[in-house]
Amino acid sequence: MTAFAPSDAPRRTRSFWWRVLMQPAGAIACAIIVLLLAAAGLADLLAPHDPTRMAAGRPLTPPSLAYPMGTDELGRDVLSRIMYGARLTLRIGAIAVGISLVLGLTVGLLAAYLRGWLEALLMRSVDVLFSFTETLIALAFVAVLGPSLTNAMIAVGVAGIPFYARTAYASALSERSKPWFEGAVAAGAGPGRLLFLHLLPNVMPTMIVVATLGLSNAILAAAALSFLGLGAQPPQPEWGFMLSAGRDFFSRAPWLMLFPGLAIALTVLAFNLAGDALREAMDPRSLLREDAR
Amino acid sequence: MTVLDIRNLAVAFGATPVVHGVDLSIARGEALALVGESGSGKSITAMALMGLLPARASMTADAMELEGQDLRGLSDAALRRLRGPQMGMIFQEPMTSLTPVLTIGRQMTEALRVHFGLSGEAARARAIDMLDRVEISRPADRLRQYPHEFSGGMRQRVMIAMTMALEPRLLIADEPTTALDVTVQAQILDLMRTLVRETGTSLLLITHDMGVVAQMADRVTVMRHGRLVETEAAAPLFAAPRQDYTRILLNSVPRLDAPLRPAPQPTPPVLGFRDISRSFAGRGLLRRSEPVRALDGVTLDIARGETLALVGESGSGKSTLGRIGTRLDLEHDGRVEIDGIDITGLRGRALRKLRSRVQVVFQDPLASLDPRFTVGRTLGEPLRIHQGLAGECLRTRAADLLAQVGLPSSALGRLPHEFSGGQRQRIAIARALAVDPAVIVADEPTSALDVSVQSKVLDLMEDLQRERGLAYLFVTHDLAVVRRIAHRVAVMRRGRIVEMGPVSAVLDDARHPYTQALLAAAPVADPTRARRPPAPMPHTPDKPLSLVSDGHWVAA
Amino acid sequence: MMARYLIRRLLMGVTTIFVTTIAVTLLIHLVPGDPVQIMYAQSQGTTPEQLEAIRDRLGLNDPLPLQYLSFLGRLLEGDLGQTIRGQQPVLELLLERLPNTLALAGAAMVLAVAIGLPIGFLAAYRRGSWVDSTLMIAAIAGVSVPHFWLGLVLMFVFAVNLGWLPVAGTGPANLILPAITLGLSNAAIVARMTRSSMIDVMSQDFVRTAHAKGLPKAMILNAHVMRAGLVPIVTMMGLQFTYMMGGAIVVENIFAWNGIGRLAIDAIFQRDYPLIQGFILVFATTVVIVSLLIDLAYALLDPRIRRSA
Repeated sequence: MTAFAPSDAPRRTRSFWWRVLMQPAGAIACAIIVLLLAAAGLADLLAPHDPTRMAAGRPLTPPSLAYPMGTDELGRDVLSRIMYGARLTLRIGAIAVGISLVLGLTVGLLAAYLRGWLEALLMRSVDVLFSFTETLIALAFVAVLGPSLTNAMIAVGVAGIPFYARTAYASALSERSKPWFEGAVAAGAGPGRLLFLHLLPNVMPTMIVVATLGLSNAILAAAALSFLGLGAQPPQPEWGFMLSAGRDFFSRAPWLMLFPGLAIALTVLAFNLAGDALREAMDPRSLLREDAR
Repeated sequence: MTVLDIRNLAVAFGATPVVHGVDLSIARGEALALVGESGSGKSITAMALMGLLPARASMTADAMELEGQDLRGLSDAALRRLRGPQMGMIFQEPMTSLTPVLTIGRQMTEALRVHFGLSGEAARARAIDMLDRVEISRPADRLRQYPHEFSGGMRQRVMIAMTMALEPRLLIADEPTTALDVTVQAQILDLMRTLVRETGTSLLLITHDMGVVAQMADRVTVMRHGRLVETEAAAPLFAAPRQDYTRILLNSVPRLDAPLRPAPQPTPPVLGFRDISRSFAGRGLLRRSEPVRALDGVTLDIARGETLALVGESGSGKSTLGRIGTRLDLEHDGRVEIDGIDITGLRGRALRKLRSRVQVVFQDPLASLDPRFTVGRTLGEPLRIHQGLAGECLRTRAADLLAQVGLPSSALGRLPHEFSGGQRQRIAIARALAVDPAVIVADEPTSALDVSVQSKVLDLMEDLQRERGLAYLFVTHDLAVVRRIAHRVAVMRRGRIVEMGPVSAVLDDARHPYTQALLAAAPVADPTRARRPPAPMPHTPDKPLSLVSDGHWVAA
Repeated sequence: MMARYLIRRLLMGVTTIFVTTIAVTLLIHLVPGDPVQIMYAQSQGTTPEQLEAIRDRLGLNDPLPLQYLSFLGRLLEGDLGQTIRGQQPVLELLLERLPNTLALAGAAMVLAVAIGLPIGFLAAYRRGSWVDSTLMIAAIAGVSVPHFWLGLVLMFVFAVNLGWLPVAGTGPANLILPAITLGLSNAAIVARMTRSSMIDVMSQDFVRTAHAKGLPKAMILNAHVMRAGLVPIVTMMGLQFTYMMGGAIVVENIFAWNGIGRLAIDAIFQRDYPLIQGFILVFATTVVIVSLLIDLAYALLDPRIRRSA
């Protein structure tokens, strides 16, 4: 037999995370996300003021050393509100994406694995839901449950299910039609093994990219709901809600428009960049580019 | 008169050299075959010549002349004007090489208009003439059709017509028939030979198949790992290769006149198919059409220690029968028996238990292994399930299996992508062996491998059969491989067996016209053998099988 | 065969609307608590007897299947009930506002395509160059900016500070800022999708064939790449329009543009369930019709569907 020679075969020269971080998009994303996590995690220590305490300073004080981002119409410190807002935003993103991911993945995987009439039923339902559009589903949910931040998170999460289910389904279907899956079936693997040890780990990379990009989507959608007044309620320091509350004072206090908007945009940008970087690093074509010889 | 002259060509991707020190020259009307296994740099050489290397590649050469014109340092525009009228190229993938949203007519005429300034009418007339010459019927109507309305072989004809319409001085054909069935391959090769002879075009044929080389080439250049091994006229090269590598390459090619394997002792069948039929709901891109009958009343037995080859072209149903045998496809009529016991109705746990009797090896070695499972986990899976092994015991047994297929136990911790194609196929065989099966269904297990690797994998399979009394159901399209590995052979066409019997009887005394056509079409790695024109394929409905001699059945 | 494809899409659309009618009937029963009480919570001094009468009028005391059938029956006559506030006919009100929303989404769509498509093509064509990088950085920034913020900034700069354009309201000049707000956000999405779809096409085998024939690069791009790339791009347009419809809801509220989105948000605040039901039905129907038109365009563009016989 030929000598065992791993050098014949393509090697992964660098680790996955290295490939992610070496892209400018990945590095920028990582920097912003670290900043966000720090702001959210250390808000109790770092925030100069209580985010909900009124008249922490004079109302509508412009940015200064004492109030780096100024104060709002009720005299609350904007920087502190932004920092505590990071906490809310990350929680909204995680919960909404969590709902979409878990339920979408379950539906998609089951449909792809079971085939037959259940597959048809599940996926046709997903198609119908998908054509409702996410906005309509989210609005309908808030209309039923009533405006609140929790309900907005649930609404955004539920609205995302069809897309996650479709992606998971397509990915699982393509994996299960590959010979290695049939090889595992022939080896005698039962449903649990096939679903959880074979299909799930192979579908996860795609879903991680989808969920990362989905975070920015969910954060935007929830901020939009809060902006409309259908999400966060006073005095919650939610960024979208801060924008709508400050609307009437923009001429006198443009910082009320600038900082919350910037915070949302940078957060969304970070998760978009992270998703792009992850996809690029996972793309087999980019692997080939490195390994081709 | 030299058409092409390349000296000391080197191509690098970034800092990695992929081709170095390659010399090529082709005379007018000459056919040069560029032969090599995967990674030899043969296709890169052609792309360098066409000026179609990817942007990150760099190229140097001491000389690179086409019809006396230096190609080095030509501007993109100048090179573009040479592509088509001076050098034309045909690719391997007929299904994807034509633009799906444009008509054949549009695609055939556009280059004529660009290069020769022909009017629409004149270009159309030329296109019709060329389609006629590649034997496509009703050419004027066909011009209005789209690529998806043609079969693979027909698309390759269109590609040839499109390329030859520009009357290139040099035709480069990169594995032009590799994706086609043997009978179609024979027709396309015949067509290329005729066109090249008639037009006096020189041919650079890139291929891995020594049989195709023997049929087509005047001279042969052998490449390996990006380097030139030797260049020699075809007849002496096949008769007495000078280089070791060429000799190994030629010796690895399975031959249709090779000695037969001795027949095994007759034993009771381990795997039996009784009157198997299978239909697929006809599904095009969007439509549900008439169901396609993939298998139509197939009955077959495989005995212990025996290799039964299933031979046929695409759509013959051979792979479907293999899948039914491994119980990966359960939606069929008829019965499947193991050790004489009907197992057709088994499902769930009972079926899983029985799976250890029949194992499977697939064609694509990389796709056969879960990319996220280490070799140890892949081999351990059946052992855990069927024998309840765990821990050190499991590891020892997995290492033992690897040793049987010639791999060291250090491979256990590695992932599939860290291995070469041949090594992956050995791992797949080891997984199949793990549960000590009676039968292995091997679906084209060596078709994706280079010939030198194929030969070693076939050796391994033979050794394992001898040691363990394994039965193989060996699905293949290659009659030479059948001769090399099989004891008996069943020839399939359109879901039916048309001829079945001992290899010697079927291959040396073929009775069914389809078997005869397959044999005539199979390329033989011997340039001195007369080139038989492909036999016309009779399309008669098949009659039931009848016995013509000892164990030799023919549908006639 | 194309007919069969379109019939299948049509059936899908009809199913969607059918499911919407069921969902809309159930909606009011899913509200935690007593919907009628919630609806009238804001108006003072409604007696229990009055509430019961309203319940009767809305048919909420009937068994569910009967409620659904009478809802369907009234729907077929074009009657979606009356709003709680103002007692106006729901369907009439929505259809009166719908053209405004369609005008906004349509104008934004034209803008998004006019900006996004050329940028996507250019970036794909100059892939890997500084042009590509710059355009794609701009695009990802554009995707990340929330459109409600962009709307506020545009309003602040062009309407409030510079006074060039009206701040809010409904009229031709009022359309400009909302359309730009919605159009710019989506132009970035269109540019990204166009680029990736074009790059996908450019790596196909048939493009290599076209190069091997010696066709000029411009001709390959115009004839082969564009035509083949158009098919996925048109599909994308369909999705894009539904995004626009969704985005319009928010933008209408910023600029006080009198579309169905503004109506819907008010209805949600006022718990005006008949109006919410009507809005969901009208919105879903619009989206289904637009998707059907896109499917038709798709079928006409792709010969594999148009000519599959």
